[in-house]
Amino acid sequence: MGALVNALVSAFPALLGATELTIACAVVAALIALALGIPAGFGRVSRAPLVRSLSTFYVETIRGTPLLLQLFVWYYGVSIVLLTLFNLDIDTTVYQVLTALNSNSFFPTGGVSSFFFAVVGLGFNYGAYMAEVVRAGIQAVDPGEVEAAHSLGLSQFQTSRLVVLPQALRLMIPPLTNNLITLVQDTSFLQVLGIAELSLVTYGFTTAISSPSIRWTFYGVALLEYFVICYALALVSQWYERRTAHTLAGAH
Amino acid sequence: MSRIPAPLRFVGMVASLVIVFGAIVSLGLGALDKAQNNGTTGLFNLGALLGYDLHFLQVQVSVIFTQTDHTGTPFHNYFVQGLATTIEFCFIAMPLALVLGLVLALMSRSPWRVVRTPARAYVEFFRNTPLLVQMQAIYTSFLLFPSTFFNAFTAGIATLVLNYAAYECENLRAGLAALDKGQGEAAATLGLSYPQTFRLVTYPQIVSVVLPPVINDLIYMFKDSSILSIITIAELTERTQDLARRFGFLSWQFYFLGAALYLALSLPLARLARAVEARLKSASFQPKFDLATASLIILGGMVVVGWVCGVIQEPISPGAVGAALVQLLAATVLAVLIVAGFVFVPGGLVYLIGSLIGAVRRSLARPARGAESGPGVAVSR
Repeated sequence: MGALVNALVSAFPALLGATELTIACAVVAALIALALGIPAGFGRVSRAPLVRSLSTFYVETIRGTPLLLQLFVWYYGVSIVLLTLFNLDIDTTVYQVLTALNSNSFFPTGGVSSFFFAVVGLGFNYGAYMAEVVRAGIQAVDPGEVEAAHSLGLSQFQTSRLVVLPQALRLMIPPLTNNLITLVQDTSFLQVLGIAELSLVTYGFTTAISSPSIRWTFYGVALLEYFVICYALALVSQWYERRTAHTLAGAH
Repeated sequence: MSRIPAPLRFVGMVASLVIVFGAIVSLGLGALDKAQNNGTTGLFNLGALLGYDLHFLQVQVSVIFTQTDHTGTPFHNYFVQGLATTIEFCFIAMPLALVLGLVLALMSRSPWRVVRTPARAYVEFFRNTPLLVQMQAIYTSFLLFPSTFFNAFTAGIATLVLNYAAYECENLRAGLAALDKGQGEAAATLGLSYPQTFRLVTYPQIVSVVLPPVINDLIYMFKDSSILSIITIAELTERTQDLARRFGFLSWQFYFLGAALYLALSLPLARLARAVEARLKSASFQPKFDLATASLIILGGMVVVGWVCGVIQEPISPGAVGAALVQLLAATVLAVLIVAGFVFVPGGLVYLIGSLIGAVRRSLARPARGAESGPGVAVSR
């Protein structure tokens, strides 16, 4: 028991830092996902064939391949393509930018390219899932209301802003939160690119310790942390659903 | 436009996107070349770009179709074996997850709290923690006692089953919740026993609600099984990584090829899910056979196909076939045991704490409610 407590206490700062990194990765990836998913979701219901086929291609390709392989494609594939075609190296670019800002002492010794491609890969992956949520939300709005808005003289943009989006957003919130929950869980995939987030740090501690009880305690702590984050999000989603349940029932 | 079949349309779309992208990139490169080096080549030099791509494609194709590794296995077999292993894991884990999910769903609809709480705790825990960490926790625990029961294969199956049982429980619970209570009562009035009611009345209705999300989950499992590469199982991702490591100069081409193989299988499955959903929702849908028997055959068939996929990867001998069967049985027993342990141990703890809180609450609230419990008894007398 003493050994267990000692191991946990000595690992505490590392675990705390790893949890912070996990949350930071999740937040950045979620922002990228939203920035990609909302336009792609609108693109999927667009009337322009090029826009529609481009966003369909993005969504179907990403949703049809595993995240793990996508991360490899980003880290080994896209980085090489950027290097050979555009002579663009993420590490060098970031270093130059930091130098221009007189703050290149912030540049991490391990480089930033794995972090960059991991977060961008995660964001691109979830962008496709967010796009499906956005599309479903838009298509759930009664087309009669759009026609009514058009006949009242509202422009396409006004119809989207005043009629479609207020209803669609309310429908989108619960599935978007579900996607956020799986996004937080899938930050554990970033360990394959060597990002020291919660799962990799836990794995490192457990492989260094041969005592079964300490191993299980470490995994219990890690799983509990993920559980707390994700369950809190799930509770928020449930609360929101309950709060808007009768409003939505009235809308239909 | 609508006459062109969907897969052909998708291929056409991909091809046109590649051409458009290639044209844009080569235009950009040409412009860059002109700006920097006063190059004399034309702006639109598609040949240079396609030539570069074609060269690597040629090398890749020749590697896959002509070269072998040190044991003499040709490299195209890597993809076949990887795909077979992926299918093996999905097809064995999914039926097991469905069966355990059904048990959990029935448990979580039970009126008794002692049955309901453990199942809910299990489902919430597994849905809210990452699959990868669950897998590593199970695998590193198994590494402490390596044996027929505890190895990478059983760890992989157990992880997929445990995680997906929680998701299937939610799907099946939604299917059960959609049922009309009066039908069960009507069936009971007609003299059907509970198993008969379940098979003939309840089950066909559950299937129509549950089948589309279950097929979707099969697609998710197909993709999620890529994480098994982390615990040294040689499925498609691991094989792709292996090839990429062997041929460093072709690494990203191999990753793209692996992704394309995943895409080639999951897109038709997604189309199938959509078609099944449309068919089940249409008013004219009439099952022509006993759905309960059919789904039992399908689930059993999936396990058999998965097992065969495991067997064909090695030189077939009675010993290898028997070993594969033993592995399959070990994984099944282990998954059931772990689910039971997970449901009854932490679930029991949650139940104990919950019932303690409930007892305290009731003892605090008793004086106010004590007087109201009388009339019910009086009426029944």
